[in-house]
Amino acid sequence: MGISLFQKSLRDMISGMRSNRNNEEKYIQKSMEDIKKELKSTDMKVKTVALQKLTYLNMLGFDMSWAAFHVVEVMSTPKLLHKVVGYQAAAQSFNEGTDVMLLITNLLKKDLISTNPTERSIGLDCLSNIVTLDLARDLIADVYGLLSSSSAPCRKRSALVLYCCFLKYPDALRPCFKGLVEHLDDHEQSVVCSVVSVLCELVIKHPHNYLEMAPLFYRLLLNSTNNWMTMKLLKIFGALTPLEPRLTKKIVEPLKNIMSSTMAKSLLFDCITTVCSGMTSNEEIVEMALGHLKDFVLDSDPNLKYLGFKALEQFVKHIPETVLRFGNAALMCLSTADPTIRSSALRVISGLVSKKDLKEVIVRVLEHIPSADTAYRNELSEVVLSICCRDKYSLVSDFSWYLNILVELARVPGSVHGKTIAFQITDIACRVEAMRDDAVQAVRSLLIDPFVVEMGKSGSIGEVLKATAWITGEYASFVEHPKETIEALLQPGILKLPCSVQAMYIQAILKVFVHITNDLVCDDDADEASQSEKDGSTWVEGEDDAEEDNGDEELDKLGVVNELSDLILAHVDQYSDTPDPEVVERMSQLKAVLDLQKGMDDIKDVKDLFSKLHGIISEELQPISGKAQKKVPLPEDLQVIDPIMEEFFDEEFDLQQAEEDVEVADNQAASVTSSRGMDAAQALTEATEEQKKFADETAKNQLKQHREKHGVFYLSSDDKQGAGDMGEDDGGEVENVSVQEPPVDVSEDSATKVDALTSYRRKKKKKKKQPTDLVVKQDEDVNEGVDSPVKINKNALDVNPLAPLEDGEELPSVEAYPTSYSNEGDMPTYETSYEPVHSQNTEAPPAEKQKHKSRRRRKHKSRKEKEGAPQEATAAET
Amino acid sequence: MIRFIFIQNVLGKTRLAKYYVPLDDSEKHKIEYEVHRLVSSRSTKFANTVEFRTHKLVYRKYAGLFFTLCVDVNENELAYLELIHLFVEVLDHYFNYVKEIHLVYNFHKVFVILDELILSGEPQESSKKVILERLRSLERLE
Repeated sequence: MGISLFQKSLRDMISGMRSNRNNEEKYIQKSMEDIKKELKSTDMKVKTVALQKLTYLNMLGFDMSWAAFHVVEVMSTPKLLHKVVGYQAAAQSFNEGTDVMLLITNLLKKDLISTNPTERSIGLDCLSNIVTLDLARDLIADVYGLLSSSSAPCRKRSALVLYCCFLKYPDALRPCFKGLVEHLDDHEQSVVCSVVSVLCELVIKHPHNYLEMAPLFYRLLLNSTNNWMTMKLLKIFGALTPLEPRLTKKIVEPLKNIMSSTMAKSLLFDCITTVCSGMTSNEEIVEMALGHLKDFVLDSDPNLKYLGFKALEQFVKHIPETVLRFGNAALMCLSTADPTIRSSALRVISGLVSKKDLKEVIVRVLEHIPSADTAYRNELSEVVLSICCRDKYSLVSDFSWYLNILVELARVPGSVHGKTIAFQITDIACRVEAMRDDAVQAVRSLLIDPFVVEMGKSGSIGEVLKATAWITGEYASFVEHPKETIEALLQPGILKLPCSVQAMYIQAILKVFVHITNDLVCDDDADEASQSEKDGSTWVEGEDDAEEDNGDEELDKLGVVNELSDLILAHVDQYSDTPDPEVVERMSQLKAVLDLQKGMDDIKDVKDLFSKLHGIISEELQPISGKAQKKVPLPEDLQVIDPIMEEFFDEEFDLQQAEEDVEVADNQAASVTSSRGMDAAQALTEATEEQKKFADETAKNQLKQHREKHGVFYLSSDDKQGAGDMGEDDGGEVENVSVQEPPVDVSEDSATKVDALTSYRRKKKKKKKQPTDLVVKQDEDVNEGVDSPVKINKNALDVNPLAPLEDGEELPSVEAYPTSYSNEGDMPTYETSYEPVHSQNTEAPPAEKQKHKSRRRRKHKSRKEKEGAPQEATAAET
Repeated sequence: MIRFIFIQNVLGKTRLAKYYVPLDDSEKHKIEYEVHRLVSSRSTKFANTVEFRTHKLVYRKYAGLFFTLCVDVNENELAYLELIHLFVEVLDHYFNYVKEIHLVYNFHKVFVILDELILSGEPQESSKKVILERLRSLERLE
């Protein structure tokens, strides 16, 4: 057969790998080839060893999906040792996409009902790793049965495995719940603990469904001896107390006892988390918790410190006042090297800041910036920015100080917050009139610093420079040293900045120039002139224009203006090569104005021109409220609703419909879980009245024919309307899915389509007169209309498990799956496992057809034989 | 709920990787690499938790091996550190002063031990005595 006589065992292979470290790849390739040959052998022992080696290689990263079928072979051997290897391999390599999953359902079932406890346990272990919707649906009844087994480990395991089955197959939650909860009274602590773990996971996700069980949990909490269980119970209460404040009062006592008596820090921490999640109204216990937290935070163990801050973060959200005393400790921790602790401390600080100590806190935070690395610097900057802009700067009382802080933050190298800083500076300058002067002065330092311009090449400070230029231009009246400012705006370094920034600079130059000229030339306004003296501005270097006589003065002023425009013209040409159209546009605008001015000799013309220009640029820009547009009344003669062209539309076309369609089209892109999306999908699937009627009729006829053919499987027809109402879900709301196909075709749908079938009957809450049949159950055992499998976990488990079960809600019974095989001979073979679906349809009774499992290879038993099987199964169980 | 548990050595080789959530092979390798980088770059003075994607890693270093658990964000880290310690103690007892080489050659046994400790993402048994008894009974079968 080509296999070497001495098969390498796992140990040999690993030793070989370790000794061949240099050419490991080659060695592994060779081993893989050997394994492939060995797996094809008929000797089970050889196969098993080969599979073990393959599992090891898989753990190192080599694909083993091609061997899936061989895994199944090894899994189905009766010898326990080999079986274990097979199951391990399956647990590691099987996933949702593995085809052969269909074959192992029966194997697992046999193991679950076996008398050998080891077989049961390895079956359960394997199932917990590879459970899929199909497996869960088929085996849940068996797992549930094991919950009442006599062996405690078995009960313990099955409780946990039930949980992962619930995740995949949520419909099982309600039927199993009662049985699960019964085991909270089990005399074995470990079983109780497992059940509590499962309940904990369920409660945390959907606490409102489990409020009624609070007394039960309370009793358990009082009697618990196991720390793990106590922790899980505390988590449960942490989830329940926000919903039910009366619970708070009840658990204060036990919680206090636990907190004071326990030695385990982990338990203590859980108590504290419970307190901060729902019990913050009770002062006594909060004080106790905070006392312990102080110890945590000041402890040298970094774990405890981190946990302390994490809990404080929660407290800060609810009761910031009580946590103020920790502010100092948090600030001190900012200098630790551990990034997790630092981030946590920062978050605590950002919740603790008040108006009074804002300055102090920010200064202390900023102290750490120079010594921090880039990521931490960004974090610190972010915290500062977010604290100060909270609630429209409600905490900031001294804006000029804050503007300086912003400029300082802008200078931080490697900062990513340029845009935010730019926005905030502009925001403050716009909204706070008194601050405009300060803003202009503050950003001046950024403007004239060539180093900053250099930094602006890359990095977000370019945005800040843009804001700087804008502010300087917009509020040019506050510019103190205009000539210097213009020179700064003309720096050659600007060319390296992004084009949008350059455009802003040019515009700023224009505005400042117009402003200067206007101030200089239009001196009719005596106030302006005196103001320019007050600012100490030196229009003309060194000269004192107050003493010249008027005519000379005017000439001088003109001269100054000419000087400035020469300066600008000289430098502005450097922009002429840029490819950006906006820059070119603005530059030519500037040039045009300057040329115009140069062409004027008479100062009166200059005055005229510039006073007009000044009027344009000095119009104040105010921020507008977001709702302002809505307040604008629509003009009477504006028509937006009438159709543009009549002849495009049918007679039946309704404008309402058109609007809905537009909405639907818009919403299709939106998340399906949003309620609007659901309505839209509803609109999509809603058929017209005619279509509905037609579909109804067809369905009824077909159903009738079906029943006549296989009468024994159907109940009396009156309340069977539900079966006729089954339809395909096109991905929308469960309730209003229209009828489109009769049930007969359901079996040929893919499993996913079946999953999406509505449990329409359940919604209508019809009472069934008799215990439900296989067929009927099949219709029920589908997931609620949730779209993607991922969302199943979140939404579908949100059911009330304590409400009494309705008639339709039962576990798929054990006999729902045929088990009577004569064992060895029925080992699935590769050839027969993939029989096409249609060949089975003719043989199988429709009861089986209805199940999607009809896809699998199945020896078709008649119904009577199957009835014999459950008796076997139950016999095997005991 | 526990999402995965790794045992990795300082050089980055994964000695054991067990996942309790379904993942693609390529995803698995990416995660193993990222986790190792994250965990080995932290000094011993730091806290034993670090945020990882939308979850949390709880890890501890024993000799040359990192034992890492990935749990949800709201879980209690100290409890899971205790779980890791329990795992290591069981391994120690079972292999008699366990070393990395034991884990390399007996990976299938380590999986069995792990399954006794954690099932479907939740801690199954917290008593070392009970676990060791069960392991002995399983061994007798062989």
